[in-house]
Amino acid sequence: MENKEIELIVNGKRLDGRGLHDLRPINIKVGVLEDADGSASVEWGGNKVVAGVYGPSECIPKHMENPFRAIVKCQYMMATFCSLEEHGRMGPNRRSIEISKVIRQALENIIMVELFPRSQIEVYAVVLQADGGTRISALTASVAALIDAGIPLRDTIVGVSVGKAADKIIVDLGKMEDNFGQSDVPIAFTNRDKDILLLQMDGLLTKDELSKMIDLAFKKGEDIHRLMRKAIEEKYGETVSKRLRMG
Amino acid sequence: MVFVIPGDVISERPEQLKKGTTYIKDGKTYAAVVGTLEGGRFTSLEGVYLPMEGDPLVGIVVDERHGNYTLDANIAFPVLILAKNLGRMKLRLGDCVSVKVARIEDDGTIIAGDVRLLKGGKVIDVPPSKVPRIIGKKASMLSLIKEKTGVDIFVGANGYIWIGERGKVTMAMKAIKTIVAKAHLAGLTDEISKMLGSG
Repeated sequence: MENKEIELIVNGKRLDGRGLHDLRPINIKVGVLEDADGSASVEWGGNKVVAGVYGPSECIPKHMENPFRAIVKCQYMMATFCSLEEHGRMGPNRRSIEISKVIRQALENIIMVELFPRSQIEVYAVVLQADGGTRISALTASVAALIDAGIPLRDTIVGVSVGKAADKIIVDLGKMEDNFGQSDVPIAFTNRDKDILLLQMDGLLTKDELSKMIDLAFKKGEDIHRLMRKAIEEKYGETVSKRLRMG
Repeated sequence: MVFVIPGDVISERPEQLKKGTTYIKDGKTYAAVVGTLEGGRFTSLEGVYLPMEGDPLVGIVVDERHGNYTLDANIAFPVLILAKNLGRMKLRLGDCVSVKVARIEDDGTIIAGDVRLLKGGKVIDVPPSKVPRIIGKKASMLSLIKEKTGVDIFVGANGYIWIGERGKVTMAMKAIKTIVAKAHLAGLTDEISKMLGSG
């Protein structure tokens, strides 16, 4: 796995000068789109993600509706220009279908879907620029957008990717560490109860390393939650002018 | 005043507050939407519309089947007007009506009663969470706008607002727009009064 030509950690510092357990700068903003019911943008290091939420509304197509609860539709998309390699057209592909699914399953756990029988809630997250850890950035943006939309949630989800490079455990992997490191583990969990809602693993890890990583993610989650709270507070700090839609 | 986001504790005791804004777990009450906590009182700042019996709604007739009508009310649930509740009244597709929520079925379908046709005018769309502010305490804000502009206004709890053709329509719409933008701030009635008084 390890690439000898790239030294990911030199003197305890990583490629971008961060320490082993440092997060990249994170900037969250809510209410960035006028016509979505809720929206948020997240800049997480080199990642730029915009998420929009619609609903709850009448479920279309009708055969997908559930008489007991709302269904959640989630679409993660990578823009054609989001990274060095070409990503082709923005339609669904193997990777984006998988990420849409794991984000949807995480969100279904916190949305109070039983309040809205026979309806749908749509969540769209577009990655404008990718730099490792886009699924966590997209999930963070989606949760902030859901809060902005006023959809009842049991808790907020926070997430962070942890991993291993040069035999050291690192937090918040960048693109190079993701591609050339030994392991990459995105983790997302509810903020209050620390229920893990998303955990995927690339590469090899021992049991002990994984449990250390999870503890580390829980600790870093508090920082991310603080940023999310600040972002939502900021929306009400100044006058929000949401355009009135004319019917 | 404390700012709360979903998942924050708002009371150590189980408290039954407005459905869809809070929930109870293990004997504690938690917020489900963004809001403020002032002296133990929770006020939601965002939220989606959950129907309650007796709520007034504004909708547009979009479908007719066997004399029963379906309304578009911009909410998660279908709104039905049954033929038997219409009496002699006739509706056409595209008509704007005001109704009252008579019954809510288990699957969320709203059965509407008390149908009134709203002739002419137009419908604007605001977030349902801002409706209480547009109406004001004892309808103070709404009567202020009606009085100063001379416009017929009907506010639906679903966020559709019907505005008639009489009076200073543009000014009334501007006032509503301002309320929506500043719904979370204090002293709105004075501001609106000043705005309408000068214009």
